Amino acid sequence: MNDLQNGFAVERLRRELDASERRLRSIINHNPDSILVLDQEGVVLFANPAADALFGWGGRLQGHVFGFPTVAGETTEIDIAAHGRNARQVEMRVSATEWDGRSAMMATLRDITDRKASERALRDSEFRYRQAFDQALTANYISDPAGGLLASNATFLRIFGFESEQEACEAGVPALFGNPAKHAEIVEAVRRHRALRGVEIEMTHHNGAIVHVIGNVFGSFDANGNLEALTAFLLDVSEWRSLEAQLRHAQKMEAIGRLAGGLAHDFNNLLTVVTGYGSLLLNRLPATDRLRQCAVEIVDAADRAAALTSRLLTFGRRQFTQPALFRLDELLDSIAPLLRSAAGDDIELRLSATGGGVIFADRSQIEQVIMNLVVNARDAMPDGGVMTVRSLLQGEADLPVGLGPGSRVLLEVSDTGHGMTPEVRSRLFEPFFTTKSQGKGTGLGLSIVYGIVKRAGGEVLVESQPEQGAVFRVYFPEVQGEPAVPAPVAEPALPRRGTETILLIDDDPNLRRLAVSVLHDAGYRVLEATDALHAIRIAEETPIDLLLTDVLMPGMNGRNLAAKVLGMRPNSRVLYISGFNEDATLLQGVYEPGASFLRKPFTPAQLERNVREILDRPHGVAAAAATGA
Amino acid sequence: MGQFSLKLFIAGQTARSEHAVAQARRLSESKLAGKCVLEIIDVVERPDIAEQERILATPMLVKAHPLPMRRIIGDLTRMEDVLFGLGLLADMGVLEPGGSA
Repeated sequence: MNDLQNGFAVERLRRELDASERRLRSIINHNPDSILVLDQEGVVLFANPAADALFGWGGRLQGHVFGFPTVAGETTEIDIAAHGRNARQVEMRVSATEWDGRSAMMATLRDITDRKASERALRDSEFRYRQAFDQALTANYISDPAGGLLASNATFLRIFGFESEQEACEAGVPALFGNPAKHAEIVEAVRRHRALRGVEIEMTHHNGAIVHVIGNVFGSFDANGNLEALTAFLLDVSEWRSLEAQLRHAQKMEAIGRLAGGLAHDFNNLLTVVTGYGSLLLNRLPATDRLRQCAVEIVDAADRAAALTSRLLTFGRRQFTQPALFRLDELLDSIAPLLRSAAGDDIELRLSATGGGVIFADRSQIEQVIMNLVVNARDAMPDGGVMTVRSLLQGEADLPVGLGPGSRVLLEVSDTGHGMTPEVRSRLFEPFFTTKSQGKGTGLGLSIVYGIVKRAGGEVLVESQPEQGAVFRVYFPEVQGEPAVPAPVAEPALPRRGTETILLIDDDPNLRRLAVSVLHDAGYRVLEATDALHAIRIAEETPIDLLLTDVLMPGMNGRNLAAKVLGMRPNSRVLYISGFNEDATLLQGVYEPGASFLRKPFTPAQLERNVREILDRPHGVAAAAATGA
Repeated sequence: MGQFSLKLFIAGQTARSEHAVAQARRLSESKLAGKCVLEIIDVVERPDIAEQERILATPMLVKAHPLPMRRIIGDLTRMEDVLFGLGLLADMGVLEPGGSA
């Protein structure tokens, strides 16, 4: 090989080396990772452009002390100091190398700031969703299609009665659906529709009780469309269901009550007329007259009808009441002998009246409630058994759902009798609903209980299963206060005849004619008016002793009329004729003390007695709030 | 006392910083017990010192005294790496209990 050839070879080798170095430098210069070559004291021997950019000094790192790099595993994380800009997080990898013939270290730094930020964002997001899942009001769970529980939240454990997630896992999701077929049905529906929204499902508590839920169930699918998991959000509506049923029942009873009460009220007016004329007929017919028996029958039938309408009015809560404060315990004690005789010899009556409190209600009506419940319990045990009647005080926390705030005085009547089906239970308080054979019950006993209890601001709840007896619980609001001492009841005075002038106002012509007839017969002078204006004109012209007026009339009501008449004739007395309790409320709330009234239906004797009683009363003496039957 | 002066530079109160502080304490309280002053400097709170000391990255442990000054950066878990990086293995006699003070 000559010199020329040698020269070419060297030149080629040099070019190849240059090219090779350029390639390697290019790789290093364009590497997105920072590369530092360090000596044993951590001084930078070489830094690629990415490293210069990472540290952001604007100058070269070469010659600066980076530090001796220590890595515990394969990599370690370090922070690049901020120096006026955002700090960067870096993953450092270290390897041994050689530099200019001496051993050195190569540190490769990868900027992981953005990756870390997204990891953190993901973690935060995961945490937030996990919170939303865990803390939700809904019972949430995730399961595999076979029903294996993958995740659940606290509400889920609570509404299905699990102590721990592990216990729930052991039970498995299909058990919550009552049977595996029902669970499979849901899974199949999710597979087909991908999601179910607002579905109502009857599920099963760990203890076997029914749990009504409304739920959304979503499927998670893999790339091939296979169902991988189900996520369910279930809202427990069991309590709402029960409240809804209570509300429906209350509305039904309210409607029936209105109907029965309204009917009975109008019927009362008619019965007053029937009874009145029947009585008049009876009084006027000679004792030997064959028609007398007809009149007796008329009056008897009308009396029975009046008793019936009175019970319907009680149920419809339109019956007149005289509420007062009294102790339920004391009432139970006072009627204990009555209850024992009502229960009969075959039944063991356990009476406990020690824990009750003060209530505000019509004492005689509550007596009727207790009596009706006792009779009902007795009839449920034709072959004998145990009846328990007790009163106790219940704090708000112990009350069943839907009863509202405040403590209650509880009256409980339970029996060991034949019990009842849910169907019977739901219709129990309807008037004329009875399971007793014909002639044994009117079907009004429990309706009356219902009406009275409602009227007193109470609630009555029944618990019963066929062949397992029944428990009636009546909750009265507990009232703070001392019971009043009951006033002695005055004996009704025998009516005597009169000669005074009575001004009578009632828009019902039949009733008016009857009253005129009765009062005429008793010796009074009766002036009739069809409405208030008519009555005022009469009072202007004629001195009157008694104003006998209906409470509710078209135009002017009885109270205003009385005020006008008393303005002109201050010595007159007033007796109101009242249809039902709404009138009485009006009287008690608005009318002056001393106002008296006569309840429809009334008998001629009651009318006479009331008129006489008021006319005989000295001026300025307050009358009892109500008179009449 | 105070024969060794160590400075640990950290960036904020992170898990990484806490680990570095624990390791530096371990070192100062075991191998260098009674012979070391450890100063901990948070570069987030004191960027001026970081600037002055030309701290490129954290966590960084600096042996300021005795000279020569040495710096190590990264994970302080492996004590032998730490001792080697700080140039302390070269003078193990100083570190042995009962060694020359």
